[in-house]
Amino acid sequence: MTMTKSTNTLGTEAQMDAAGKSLTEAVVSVISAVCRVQAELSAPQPDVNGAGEKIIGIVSLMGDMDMTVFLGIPPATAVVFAAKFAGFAVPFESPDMADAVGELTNMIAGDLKIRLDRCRIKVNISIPTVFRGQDLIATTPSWELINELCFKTEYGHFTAGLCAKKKKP
Amino acid sequence: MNVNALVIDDSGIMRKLVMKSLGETRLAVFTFQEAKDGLEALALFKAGKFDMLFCDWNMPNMNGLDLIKRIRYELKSKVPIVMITTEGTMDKLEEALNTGQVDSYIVKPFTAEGVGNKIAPLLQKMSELKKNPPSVFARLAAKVK
Repeated sequence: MTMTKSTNTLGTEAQMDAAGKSLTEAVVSVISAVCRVQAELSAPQPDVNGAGEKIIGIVSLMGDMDMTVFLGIPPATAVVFAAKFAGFAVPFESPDMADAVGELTNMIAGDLKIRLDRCRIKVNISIPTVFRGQDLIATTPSWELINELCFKTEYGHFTAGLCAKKKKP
Repeated sequence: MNVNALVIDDSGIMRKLVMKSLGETRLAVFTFQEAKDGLEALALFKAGKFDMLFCDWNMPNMNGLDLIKRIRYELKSKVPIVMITTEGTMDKLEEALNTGQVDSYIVKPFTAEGVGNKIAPLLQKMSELKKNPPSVFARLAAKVK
């Protein structure tokens, strides 16, 4: 994949706001279209945003602003989302689960790219990375976390977020 | 109509979904081979005979665009290629569509009905070509062109 990188890879306040808002819209839109599940923003949940087992998909966006998008789903919710996405049962420990969460994250990043484009923020997206673990906290040294959002669905909560380096005022 | 299709995607679940959706269209009897990136697909393509390719865009090792360029310009193949893409790569896809490198595309997430609508015209064209293959003169003229 060809990546074009401008010199302005740090986010301004306006870009950060646009990215955070666009991410919420992208998550709701993709989860609704792919999993046929209505998601809405909710208050952070200790067992979703903090401790607990999760599978996490990550996609990098590079260009006018460098960012990382992640999607974190607890096992019970992930199994329902993957089954609705694939049309067949997907066990949490199977490689298909990693593929499903990777694809969901990829689609969210693709949707986010279009929305950012409308805000005149041009980015290219990487291929997704997926990992699974216990008590995973979204944090990256020297990168400022814009937002870790929590979403509520009838099948449980999940988290999505965006990390970007903030431009100094 | 029998169609030997090559499905290329780094995601195993997406390959399964593409094959499932194609089967559900009932537009043809599909047999499939799978590749997880462009390099693997290129090796399979050189070794086999395929009627249609379904190719993801974003893949490791060799992405979809590089693969179709190799197939079109190096191997000089006119095999119908359907790109599988997300909204995020539609801008790059348009160029490939306009230059004839790609015959059609499917945007993720997709349904069997949506896939059917996209491939029906390609299958129709393939069927007509099988019934009325171009004359030697027409093939030569196309080659010269």
